[in-house]
Amino acid sequence: MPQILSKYALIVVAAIAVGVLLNVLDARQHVVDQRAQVSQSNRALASALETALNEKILIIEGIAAVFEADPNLTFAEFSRTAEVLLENDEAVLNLAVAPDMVIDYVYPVQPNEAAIGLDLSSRPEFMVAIDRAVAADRTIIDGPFPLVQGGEGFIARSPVFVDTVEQAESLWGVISLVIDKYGMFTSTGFFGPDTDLVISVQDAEGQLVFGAPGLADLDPILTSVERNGIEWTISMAPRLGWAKTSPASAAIWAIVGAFAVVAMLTLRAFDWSVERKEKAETQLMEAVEALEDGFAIYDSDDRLVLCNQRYKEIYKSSADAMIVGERFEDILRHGLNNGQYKDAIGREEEWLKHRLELHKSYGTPMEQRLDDGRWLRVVERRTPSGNTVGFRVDITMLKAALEKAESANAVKTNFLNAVSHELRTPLTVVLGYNAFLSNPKVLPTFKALQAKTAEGDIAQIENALDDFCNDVQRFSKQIDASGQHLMTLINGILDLAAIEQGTLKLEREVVSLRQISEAVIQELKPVAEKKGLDVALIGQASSVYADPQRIKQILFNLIGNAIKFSKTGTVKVRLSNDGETVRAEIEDNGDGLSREEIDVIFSRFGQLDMSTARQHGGVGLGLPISKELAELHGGTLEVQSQKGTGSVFCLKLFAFSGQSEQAA
Amino acid sequence: MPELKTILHVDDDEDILEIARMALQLVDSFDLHQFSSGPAALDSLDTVAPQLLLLDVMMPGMTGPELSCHIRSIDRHKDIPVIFMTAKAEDSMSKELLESGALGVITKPFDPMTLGSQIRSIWSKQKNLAIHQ
Repeated sequence: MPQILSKYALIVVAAIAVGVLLNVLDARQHVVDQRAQVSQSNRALASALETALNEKILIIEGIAAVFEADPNLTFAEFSRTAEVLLENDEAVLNLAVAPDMVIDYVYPVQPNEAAIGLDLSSRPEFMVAIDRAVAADRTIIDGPFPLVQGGEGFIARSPVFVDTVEQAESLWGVISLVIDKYGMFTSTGFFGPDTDLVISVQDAEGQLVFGAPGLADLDPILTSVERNGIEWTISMAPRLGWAKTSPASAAIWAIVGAFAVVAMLTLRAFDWSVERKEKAETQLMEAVEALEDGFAIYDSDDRLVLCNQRYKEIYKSSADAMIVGERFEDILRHGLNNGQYKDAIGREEEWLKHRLELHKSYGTPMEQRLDDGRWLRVVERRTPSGNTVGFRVDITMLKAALEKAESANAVKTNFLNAVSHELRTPLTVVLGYNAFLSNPKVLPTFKALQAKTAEGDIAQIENALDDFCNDVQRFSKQIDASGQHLMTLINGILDLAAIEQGTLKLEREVVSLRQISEAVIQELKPVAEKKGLDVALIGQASSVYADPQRIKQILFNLIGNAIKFSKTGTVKVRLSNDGETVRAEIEDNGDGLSREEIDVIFSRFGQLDMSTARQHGGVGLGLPISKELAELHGGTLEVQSQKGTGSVFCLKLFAFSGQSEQAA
Repeated sequence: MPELKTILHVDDDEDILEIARMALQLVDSFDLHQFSSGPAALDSLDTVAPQLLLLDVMMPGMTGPELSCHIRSIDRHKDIPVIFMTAKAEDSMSKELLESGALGVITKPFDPMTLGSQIRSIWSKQKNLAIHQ
């Protein structure tokens, strides 16, 4: 805000400075204009004055010329001539003719008749001027003098020379013309309409001839008038002095002020526009930075305009190149050089070409894998102004979830396929043997029985019947075994479903792991012996508070697996106590399990690869069910194994501690 | 194409072997040679000289398709047609087996009373194919 105010203050100061400067310049010009105007008026006035004087001189010299031509001119002739010459000249008070310096004629007679007969030579004050005119042989104007008639006036005197017998150019007399000062000056415009001006006329000695005194202080315009003895200076100045301020000053200030206001309004509009732009940019950047996804804009030349921090975080290896103005391709190359794009490694140029094609196709979302294992969804769109807006969405979690779901689905599909297989195999046995039971005639023993029956030998009939019955019993036994196998499988699936649904109930009692282990080993002994294996039960363990059927199910599964996967040697069942924990460890001599296999075998519907299933049968339900059952008892089932060294499955349960546990 | 007589059957399940034997020898009169594993069958292949291989798919050690592949790699036996027997009922499995060159696929459980005629039907298909060729 202070910065904005200072800008406005600067405009005001600048406007004042410009206003002052313009006013000074305008005032100077105004004075020049005034003086030029006054000077023009002064010259016009001087010209008019000279014209008036010339007229007077022409009148007097005209009369002189008349008398020079005819010194004996009668008064009547004189009067007619004078009347003609003085017509319309109100400034001339009278015209007198003084032959031999004695006034003889005067016009007009009234009220000047007293002057007739006046001997001028007797008036020394007149003769000084007359002598000057005679000496100069031209009209000389003197004055101003107080006039007998009142007021002041000038007297023009012109000598008249005539040729006489005695002498050529002999002074005949003098013609005088009395001029009213006021009348002459007013007739020449000294009291014209320009009343704003003050005018004065001084003679050569500086004496005021006419007009206002004291003009010297006003720095007047001076014009000289010189005519027939007159050396006057006309001074002219504005009555109120020279105006220091131009009439345009207010207009100048108004214009400067208007410019200043316009400038401030423009500045304000500009500032407002800048503020709005900055605010919009800030809002945009805040919004862009608030995005959880990477965001970038490239211009129509594919140069980076902006990107958020998330964008740089996603592309760590090319973040250094993400400078505004940098080309999209160069940023990609930077990332390529740092091995950022996993799918591009080893085929960088091909990848780059394909990536740029996708970039230009605008609208085809793609997935991108980075060197740190993350997956991105890349969406790029073209804006109407030709920019490219890009989003980078981290779909690593989604991808992992999808892969997990696909994996889970594959595991489930495999499980269903395995279930289907394991159901169909015993069903083949059931239906197959049953087909022969339904159609016994195809059996050799039945045919033999028929033959012996026809022969009628009772002993042979009985033998043949025994053979046939043996077939029937064998078939029934196999059907029964397959039925049992089917039942086990179905029970396993139901157990798992019950565990998943949380409906499996434990019938707990105090049981001995040793006794259950012995029973299981006894049951599985024929299987072990068939493979040439021994099963050893080692150690003792405290009683546990558990469901004996479920514990037996766990141990049957673990010991059965150990027999199944051991090729030689002894399967060891080791019982022990570890504080409050009872431990049953079943050690086999199989191929052992990798870390990945260990992760799979306990998962529901999980099973090692199908070749293992094919080799050993089962549907991969035993271990997940056993683990779930162990955990339902509050215990654990874990395995320690590595490839090539066999496996040890460890069942841990809490030792029975007394009545309270039973109550629980 | 001669009439089908000699069949080599491989399955790891003893009961299946028994039922198939009764079906193909008692119900029908094929010259049947049975083995419980792929390697055992390979050892007797020259001796038996079968016209048809009837192979279980899922067997330990060597699967039916692996055995078939192995036999096809032996030049003198490469043209012996194969019918697979499998408890895997997925269409994809049957399709995969047929695309690998099997003459037919019989799904378990099968009917012992009609197994022979089922095999002959598939066999005749191969015969018709040979005529067309």
